[in-house]
This record gives sequence, structure tokens and C-alpha cells, in this order.
Amino acid sequence: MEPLLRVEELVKTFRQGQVTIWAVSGVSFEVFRGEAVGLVGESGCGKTTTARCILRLIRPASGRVYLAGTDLSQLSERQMRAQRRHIQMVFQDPNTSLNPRFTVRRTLAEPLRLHHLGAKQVSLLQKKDPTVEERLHETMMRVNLEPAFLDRYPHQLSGGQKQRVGIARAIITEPQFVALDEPASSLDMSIRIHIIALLKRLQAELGMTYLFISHDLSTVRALCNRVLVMYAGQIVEAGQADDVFERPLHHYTRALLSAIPIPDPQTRRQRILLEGEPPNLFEQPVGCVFHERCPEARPLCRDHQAALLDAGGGHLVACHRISG
Amino acid sequence: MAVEKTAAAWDVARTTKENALRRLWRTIREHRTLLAGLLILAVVLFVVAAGPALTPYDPLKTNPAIKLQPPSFPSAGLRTGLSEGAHPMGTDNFGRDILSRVIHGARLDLPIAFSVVAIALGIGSMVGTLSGYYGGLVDDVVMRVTDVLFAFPSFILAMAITAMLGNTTSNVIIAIAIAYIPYFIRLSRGEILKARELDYADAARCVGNPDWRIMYVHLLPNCLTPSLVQATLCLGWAVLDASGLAFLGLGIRPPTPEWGVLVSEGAQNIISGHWWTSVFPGAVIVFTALGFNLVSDSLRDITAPEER
Amino acid sequence: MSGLLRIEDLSVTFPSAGLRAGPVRDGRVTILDQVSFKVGRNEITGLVGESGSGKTLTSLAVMGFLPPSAQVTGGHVWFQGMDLLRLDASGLQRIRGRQIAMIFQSTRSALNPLMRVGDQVARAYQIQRGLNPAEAYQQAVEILGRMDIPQAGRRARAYPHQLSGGMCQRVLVAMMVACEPALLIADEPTTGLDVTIQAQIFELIKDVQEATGASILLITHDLGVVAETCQRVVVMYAGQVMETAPVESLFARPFHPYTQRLLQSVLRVDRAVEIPQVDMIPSDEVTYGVLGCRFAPRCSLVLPRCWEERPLIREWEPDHRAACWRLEIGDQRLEIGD
Repeated sequence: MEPLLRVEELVKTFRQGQVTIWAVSGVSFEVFRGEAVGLVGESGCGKTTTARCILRLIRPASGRVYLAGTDLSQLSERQMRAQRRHIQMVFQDPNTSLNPRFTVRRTLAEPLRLHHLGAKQVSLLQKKDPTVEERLHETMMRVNLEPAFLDRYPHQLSGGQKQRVGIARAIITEPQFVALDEPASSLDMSIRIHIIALLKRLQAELGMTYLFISHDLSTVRALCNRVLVMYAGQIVEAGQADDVFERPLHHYTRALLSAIPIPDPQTRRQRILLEGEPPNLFEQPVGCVFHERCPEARPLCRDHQAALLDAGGGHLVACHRISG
Repeated sequence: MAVEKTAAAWDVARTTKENALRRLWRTIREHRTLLAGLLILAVVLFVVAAGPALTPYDPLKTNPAIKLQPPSFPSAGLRTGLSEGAHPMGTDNFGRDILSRVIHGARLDLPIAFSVVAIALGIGSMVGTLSGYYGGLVDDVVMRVTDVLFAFPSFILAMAITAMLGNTTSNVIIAIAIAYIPYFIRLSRGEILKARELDYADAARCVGNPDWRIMYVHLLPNCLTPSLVQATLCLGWAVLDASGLAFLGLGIRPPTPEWGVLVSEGAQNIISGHWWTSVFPGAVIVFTALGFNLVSDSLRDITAPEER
Repeated sequence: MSGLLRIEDLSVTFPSAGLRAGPVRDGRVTILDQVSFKVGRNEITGLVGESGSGKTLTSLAVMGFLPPSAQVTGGHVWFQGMDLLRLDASGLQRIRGRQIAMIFQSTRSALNPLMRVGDQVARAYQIQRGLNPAEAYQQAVEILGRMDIPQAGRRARAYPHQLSGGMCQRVLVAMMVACEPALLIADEPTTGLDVTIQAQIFELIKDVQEATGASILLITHDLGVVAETCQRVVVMYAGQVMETAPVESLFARPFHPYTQRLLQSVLRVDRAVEIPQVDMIPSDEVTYGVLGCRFAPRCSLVLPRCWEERPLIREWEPDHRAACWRLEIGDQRLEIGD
């Protein structure tokens, strides 16, 4: 079956003065229709950069992104804009992701108008096109917002409400693929669960395909059926959520999981504490990105990067120890 | 922090219950400089609007019989308005009533000032936005041009351009506008550099906006505040610059009753003791520029108090 | 019954700008409503609640850091025989830093950006232990090393902005250790830090606690942290204490409906859980306007009495207290379903 999204050897570097930072160095993965895939990792691992490259908000240094077979890197600006109807993003901080001068109505109607999803081609300034209005109302209800809020400005909304508007904006064109960049992290913890419940419901109702980026593994476990673990710009482990969470193969994944506190005092766990810090990525990584911190590193690990290989049943891991 | 949330939560109730008009009134009340500036401008703009209705004298008609008369007030009282023979600002050496000429001058200087600022703000913001958004070569070129323009004091630059283009009102406007454009380029570029890093710029891209819409429909309207504050300041400068040019004989020439022309014409009379011919027009220039400056100052305090 | 710190019926009001009705009395709203709990000796007590539950405010009241607009309208904060609320400024000054220390969420702003971190820790030694500058610096480097800061000698010469968030937090913990307080208040000390760093910081805090015998009041919204780090737990909601218990009892047998709700809706990484049903959160005006138990608007087990009268906090099991009318009338105490 053809994947909806295919990312091939994505590489992204940033220049900071004299220094080059290899934020993403060779990321490849697939997302199939209807899946909810979690992209997890700690700060600086490159997950947000990867998402922005997929959405074409930044240009990758190399690599390809295929959406339903179309190579997005070969498209002109105009062609890409047409594709944007099918690929959307929800941003992390609701306080900066909405234009403060736009009413909710304007923010939500804009994607419809840009992609000519109204009844007829109307000027972008015109207010009430009935088809558009209907769509607006329907989408507002879907995200649990009263349609009366359409005439409000972002500063008149709470954080949770603003984030719902962000979600509404992303789904209103009925895209095939939505990337969500830590959609609940900036919110109060009491609101977070509401947004997560909403996302779960939308997933079931709309059958969209999600890439859910987060550092919060508990949320990812609840929402996603597949997980990709990133470290220092590369994917180190991937597989079905249950497999990765319950039988982690990569040492980093194990350390990461063991670091997460479990809300159950009866559970006794051995915490795996990592030495050192993530590499500073000033050069393209040669060996395994994790070898300096891995207790089972061998000389091979320093010189040769391990490929992401199937260790059985779709559970992929990039580790010499496992792939032999 | 929980403390801020609690205290702020109760505050939300207060601000949403106040509508925009009451908030405006409250702002004016809390900033005395703003109030003062607005009052001054109100007077000036009223004069511009009412114009000739305020005085029966023809500003261009000469009457050598009453030349160089000192300021005199209507004898019959204000009810009858300015009766014949009363000249609150005196007459000049051609017997023209100075007050009438000042009033007509207002109808020249103020529109000039507003035109200058409109052009400078318009062009400057658009170029600055382009420069800030794209960066790279475009930005470098624009910045170097701006640097060159900034190298000259704005008045000197305006002088040079007016001299080059010729002495007409429109050329004065163009010349001064060109001198101010760099300010707006720099301000809007600075704001755009900040704004383009915000998520809503990316979001606008994400939903399918072309670059020009992202720049001019999404970003620029959010970045105008410092430019608008600068614009009020430039209005004051424009009055001074336009008058200054006219005083030096560039741009507007006599007998057009522009304020700078009036000051220039009256300047030679000071030695002979007929101070009113240049002092009144000069005072009016100062008064108007002061009004703009006060408004601009208080706007700056209101919108960016940390730079106080 | 005597712990190291005993908070008794603490009530704090804030001015309500613009609101006339609802929870407002004389232009003020009671945010903290008769908060009572204790922090035992030589243990870590967790103070748990959602944002806005009053947990940070309570800690600020203890330290005397309440903003000027806040007013303490009742209660006592007993610490080593003194009522901290009745101390004057100099009395509080002597206690702060020496007997009671606090770590805040935003580490970087807690450190002086113009001073090297080694010097800052050394200063703590100078002030609190009276060491001379040379000795103090030596001690500082040593303690930084014990905080698992690699190459402590070199790191001590760094400025805060050159260190990562996790490092800065360790520096703060080092300063705390230097002061050897009897009570340490840590307010969400790992906000914004990566999970692996968070784990390290909590291990560090636990080690420090064991080594010094200090008591720690750990403020957090994360039940996982509570389960793994704390011996006792205090659960707050909207400025009222709902339940206090030893950590095992709280998780095994939560008495208060709010605690039950919290535990049911927590997401876990070690098993796949169903995302719970979410309820509408009532506005602050409604919540703070309730005369009785402030959880009433959200409580599925609510009784008419809950709105009018505040239930008394009672001990239902050894050291396990909760305030709920349902418990009073002998009603169900749901076990948490697995």
C-alpha cells in the first residue's frame, strides 16, 4: 500500500555565523493513511525542524518529501500553495499562532477562500458567503467552540480556545495530512486533557492522518498507534506504539522511558540515568549519534552509523548491537 | 505563575466590560501630554477647516494705507467678529492682514505635512516590509540606500532635492518625503524582522498565502504601531521643514501665504521694530509643531513605555 | 501532629477589580480558603493541584513573598515554634535562606546573570556559614561536583547564560545545600526541562534530602513525580485543601472525588489508557463564588449541602484526611478501577 507521506533522507542544516548546525541528518519514514504517528524526542532532537521541512516552511538541505506520490520538493511556489490544502499544521503556542488583528472568522475563512472552497470566487474581503459560513459553523462545532466566537479576536479568547481555533484552521480545508507540533504543551495542564480528548475524537471522526510531535510520551501513548523516536537529528527507533513503549530496543529509548515518572507508587523501577549531554551537532555525525552516551558502545559505533533496520514485526531500530 | 493568573483573571472581567471608546477616553485622561497635544491640534485643524470663514480679509489683497499696523483688537467686542479695521495680528508691509494670511497658510502647511507623511509612510513601510521579509540581497541593497539617505540631515537633503526639482509645492512634498522615507523603512523592517519569526507568519504560509499577502495583509498591519508614532513626529517635522524651505526661498515663494514665507517676509521688519510680522507666523509654526510633538511623545510612552 | 511546618486555616484575599457580585465581599475575593496541612520532618511532601489551585500562593505566603495587593485574613504558619505570618520583616529575613529556602520555576532568573555561578554558590557559603572567600569557593566547587556537574572546576567559572537549564537548576540546588535549610520549598523545579534532565534533578533532590535530613515541600501538577518522589501528598483545588495522605494511601484509596478524578484522568506511558471523558471547567466567578466546597460545580457526586457549607477536613484512615460531605454521610469510597 502506498504511504500517504514519505520522507526520504531529509537533511537540514542551520548556519549561525561561522558555525553550521546539523539539525536533521538523514531522516526517513513513512506515514500511511489514517495513521496517527508520534514523533518524539527531547528538545534539540530535530523533530520540529523535520515537521517544518515536511510542511515546506523551511527548505531542507537535501532529501525528498512525497505527499500521495507527489514530490513536494519539485513543485513551484504556486503548485506548492495549491498542495497546501491537503497538508496542514497545528502550531505549538496559541498565543503567537493566530494573527492578533484577525477575527476568528477571518482566520478560518481565509484558507477556504484561498483554495476557492467557497460557493463562488469571492473577493477575500467579502464577509458572508453562505457556503463559507456553513463550513465555519460546522468546523467551530467540531472543535467545541460556540459559533458566536467567530466574531471575537484572539485576545478575547482563553489559551484553550485559541488552540481550538488553531486546530479548526488546520482541519477546515479537510486536509489529508495534519502535523501537530506540541499542540498541548503550552497550555495549562487542566486544559491539556481537553485538547487531547478533542484530537482523539477528531481522529476518529475525520479519519485524517496525523503526525503528532511531542516530548510528552504519555500523551503520545494515548493518541498514537505508531511512534518514531528521534535523537540528535536522527530516528533511532520506530514501531507500533505498544512495541516501542513496552519493549524498547534502543538504549536511548529505554533511558527516555525510564525517566518518565509513573503515577503509581507501587511500581518499582530501575531508572536508567544517562551520562553527559546530547552532542552539539556542529559536524555531520559520522558514527552513531548516541555512541558517546551509550553504555554498550563499541568501536564500530564510533565510526559507522547504524541503519534503521527491522528487528522483527515492523519494529525498527538503529543500533549495531541489535542488527549484528 | 499562579499569582499572576489569579490577579489577572479578575482583571479580564474589567477590561472586556469597557468598550473601546471609554478606553480611549481613559487613555487621554491619564496622559496629560496627549490631551494637551490633541487640544493644540484640534485648534489648528479647526482653523484649517473653517478657514476663510474666520476672517473677512483677503490675504492677497494689498492695502498700502494700512501697512505695518501693530496688532489691534475689535473694538465692538467679539460678537460682531472682526470688524473692519481690527487686525489681531497686525498687518505686514503690504497692508495685508497677517491673521488672514496665517489662516490661509495653515491650509497650505497642514496638507503639505500630511501629504509628506502619507507618502513617506506608505513607501517606507512597503519597502521596509519587503526588505525585512526577504532578507538577503534585497535587504542589503535597501539598507545601503537607506544608509546613504540617512547620511544627510533631512533638511539639507530636502533642500538639495527641491533645488534640483524646482520650486513648486509638489516638489517640496516629494523632497521632504524622500528625506523621511528611510525612517519608515528602518522602523517597519525592524518590526517585520520580529514578526516573521512568529508562528502566525508560518501559519499564514501554511494555509496557502502567497508572499505578498503574508507581508502586507498579515504582517504589516501588526507592525505599524511604531511607524504611526513616528508619523506623528514627522508631521511636526514636516511643518518645520516646509516652512524652513520656504523661509530660505526654496519651494513655495511669495506672495503665497505659507508660514515660512510669512516669517521670511517679516524677518526684515524686526530691526525696524515691527516684530509682529514674523513673530506671529513663527509662533504659529512652533505651536503646531509642538502639538504634533506632544501627541507623538505621549503615543510613544503609551505604546512602548519601556523606552521612556 | 507537629510537623516541621504547620499551616493552619490560612486565608488570603485579593482585590477584585470591577466585579461586583459573585465571590466578592468588600471588594475582595478569598483566594486561599482556610488552607491547612503540615510538612513532616525529614520527608518530601508534595503539594498537588492544577494551575490556579493556590499551591504557589501558599508557598509565597509561607515565605512572606505575597504581593502587596494580597491580604492574609486569617490563619497561622507555624515553623519551629514561630508563627511566620506574625513575624516582622527582620524576623523573616533571618529565616529566609537559612531555615527556609525556595527554588522557583524560572531558574535562570533566580541566578545573577552577572556573576559566575561558582561565586554565587560561594557567597551562599560565606553568608550562611561564615566562611572566608577562599574556603567558600573551595566548598562551592566541591558541592557543584557532588551535584553531578561534570568538570565542576571549569563550570564554576561559567555565567548562568552559558549553562543549560538543567545545569542552572543544579547550581540552585547546590546553593540550597550550602544554606542547609530545615525546609526547602521547590515550586515546579523542572518546568521546561527535558524528561531525562528532569529525572536527574529529582534524583538529586532526593539524594540531597536523604543526606541533609531536610524537609521538602514539592509543588507540582505531575502525579508521576508525586508518586516517585514524595512520601506525603496534599491535594488542593481552587484555594482549598481537598485531601492529604501518605502517597501510597492516596493512590490506592483516594477518598475525595477530585482526587479520584485526577487519578482517573492521568495519562501513563507504561500502559495504554483510554482518554477520559472531559468535563466543562466552570468559570472562576462560579468556582470562587461557592460558599462551600469549591469543587461542587464539577463534582459528579455533589450534594446540595456541598454548595452552602464547607465540609470539615477529617481523618478517615491513619494520617489520611479528606473534606467531603459524601464521606460524612458514609457514602461510597470508590476504589480506582484498573
